[in-house]
Amino acid sequence: MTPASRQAALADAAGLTPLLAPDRANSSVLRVALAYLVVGLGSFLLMGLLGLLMRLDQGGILVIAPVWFYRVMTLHGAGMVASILLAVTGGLAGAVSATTRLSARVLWIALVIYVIGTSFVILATMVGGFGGGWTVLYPLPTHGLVWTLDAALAMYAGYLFVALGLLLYSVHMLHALASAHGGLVRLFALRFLFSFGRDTRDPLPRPPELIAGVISIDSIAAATVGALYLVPIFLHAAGVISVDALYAKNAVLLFGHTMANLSIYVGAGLVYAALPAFTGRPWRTTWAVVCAWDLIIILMLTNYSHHLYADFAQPVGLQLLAEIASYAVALPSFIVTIIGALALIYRSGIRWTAAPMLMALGIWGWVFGGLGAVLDATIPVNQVLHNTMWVPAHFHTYYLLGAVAFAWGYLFHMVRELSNQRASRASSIAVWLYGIGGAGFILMFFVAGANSVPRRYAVHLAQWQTYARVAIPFVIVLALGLAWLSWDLARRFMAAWRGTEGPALQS
Amino acid sequence: MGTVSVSFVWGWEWDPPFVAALVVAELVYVVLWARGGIVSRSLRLPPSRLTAFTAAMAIIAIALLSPIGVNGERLLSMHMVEHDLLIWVAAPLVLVGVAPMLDRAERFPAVVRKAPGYLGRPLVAWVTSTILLWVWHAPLAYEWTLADETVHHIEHLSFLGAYLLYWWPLIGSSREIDSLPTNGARVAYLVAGMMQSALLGALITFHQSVLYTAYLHVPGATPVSALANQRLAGALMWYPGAIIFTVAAVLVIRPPARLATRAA
Repeated sequence: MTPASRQAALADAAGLTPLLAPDRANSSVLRVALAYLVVGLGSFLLMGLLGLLMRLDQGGILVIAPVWFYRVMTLHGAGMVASILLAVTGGLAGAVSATTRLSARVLWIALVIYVIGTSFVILATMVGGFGGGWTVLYPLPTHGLVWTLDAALAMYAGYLFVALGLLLYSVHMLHALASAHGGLVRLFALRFLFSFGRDTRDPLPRPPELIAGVISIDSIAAATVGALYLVPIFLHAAGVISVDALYAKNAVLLFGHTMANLSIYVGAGLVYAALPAFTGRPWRTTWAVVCAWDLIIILMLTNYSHHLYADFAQPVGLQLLAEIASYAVALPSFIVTIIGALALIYRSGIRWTAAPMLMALGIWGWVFGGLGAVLDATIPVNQVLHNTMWVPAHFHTYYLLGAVAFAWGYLFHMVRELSNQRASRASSIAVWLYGIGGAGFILMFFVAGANSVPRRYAVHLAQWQTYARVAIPFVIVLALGLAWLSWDLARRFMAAWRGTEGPALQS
Repeated sequence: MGTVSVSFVWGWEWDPPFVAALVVAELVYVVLWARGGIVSRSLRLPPSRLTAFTAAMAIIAIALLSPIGVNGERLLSMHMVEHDLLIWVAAPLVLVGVAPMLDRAERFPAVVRKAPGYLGRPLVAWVTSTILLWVWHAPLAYEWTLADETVHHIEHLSFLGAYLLYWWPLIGSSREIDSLPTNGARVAYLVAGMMQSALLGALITFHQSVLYTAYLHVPGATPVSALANQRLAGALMWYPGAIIFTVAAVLVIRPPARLATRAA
């Protein structure tokens, strides 16, 4: 018996699902998953360099022209959201592929469409000079003084392709999951949910499958809104109609905020998929898990409005709904996830290699980033903090130390399982560098926000520059950690790629 | 803004040698297609291949002889549509028709059968198509094509040739060399092809002055109208290219089982 097949047998005995299906039916999907993760995390590293450039500028160390700062800021924001979402969605496809029949062909096509979209965004910002921010909040994009309408339209076209790529992925994922479980009622364990756990006639989905179903519905809703939002924008550009600015803001934030939010929830799905493999204990689908994740279907689509508290024209009802939804979407899912993860880890004899360390780091980042978000979603706090560095602080926390850490951790897990080669010991140190560097870097955003340093400013006053200057050494520490993790993955990656064919075919 | 006078739907150009060349190409293809069926059932190609080749000839005629081609000398945007049709529609359609014929024709000289396999290696094909697309759009070379009709023909021929090479690894069906045997490789190749043409399209779209000054001397043109038309031309290279590559992805990314069969 080869080591990989021995692992599969042990996993089977413990009620766990191995990464590679016993009949190797998901080999090709695992390859696409690896491609999504590598393209996504590779783009994340490049976008990170743009982030460093911005911090150097804000620290007054490497001053760039404001026009270029806003281009870089726009690309950094859009690129980060797109690349991280790509990485985690790929990981989740790999995680559910052993038990759900996904089409590698559809996933590859979705990747091409997604990448075409990102190429539009790169060209609109770097060549076309678009600097209206990744949120493309109307009417700024169509009234740029330093970029043309062509650049704004190219940016929107890029978002359209990204939305279509995500839509294709999500529709396919939902269809495959619903087929595997015999319908949406079973996929979302609705009978089990509404009977408070008493009705167990239907087989329950595994948590990653449930989460994949939940995020697919939200992706489909967000991507559809995003695509439909562009119709009036293009008609406005053609001079046919005028667009209501409040409608435009609501639509674009429903799309963009949900896209950004999705990353962390998809990333959490990767924790549910990988942690059982590290601890040797299956993650059960309990009533609390079903309730917390089913709630997200609705709540994730309603909390975006906390970005519009400052818009006096927004109806008060929506403002209140945003505050309630912001609490409700965050608390159940991360409380259930954290308690579940701790229960799984406690006295499990887990070996703290790079992959579980990254997952633990991700949970830590999710908690602190989420708390920062909940604070900012509280209306009186928001009035003071929303246009300060507090906002970048919270989303950098749940991205860099949350969703991104989940994606790196899951890639380490996949490469370990498929290549049958362990991560180097130095990678554990690299994770510490990642955590310390990331935390220090983000802490300076929080401190700056608490001291009312404004966000989205290209030029910082001398008294603000200290925060960015203190952050830069931490960025270097973070970069060293990420560089080592990348190297450790790169050296084993081809073995993992071949490993998708299964142990017998490898020999 | 000035107004450039253009030919409308009835303004086709009559170019006897060129029309004859297209007709001969079509006839030769029809004969080979029909003979394939007569010689052996295994050599028979489906009517869809004949349709594809015929459509390619029609597209070439529309691109170069219709008002699209005629107006290309006055409007950069029309010239760009002409190029789009040649490289993104006609070239792949020619290959859909011809590639299986080359693959099956044992009697063709070895050099004819094997040439696409060597020239159409992904790196060679991508580099060749990229260099030709960019060089011909450099202002000096482009102005030359507007000034000299022969050079203009050479430009079109080289575009068609370069993009026959580009599409070959994806559409060519050689049994001997399958240079893009996995979907991952196909995706990377498609994205590389898309990126270089999108970059060129974006550079033309966002350029803030008129790149090809010959269009300033067209009767009725002004710097403003020429620049607006240049922006449109860049977008016509960029946006339809994105759609073409999306459609191409749907067509050339295959179920893994079919790829494995093909490689075997």
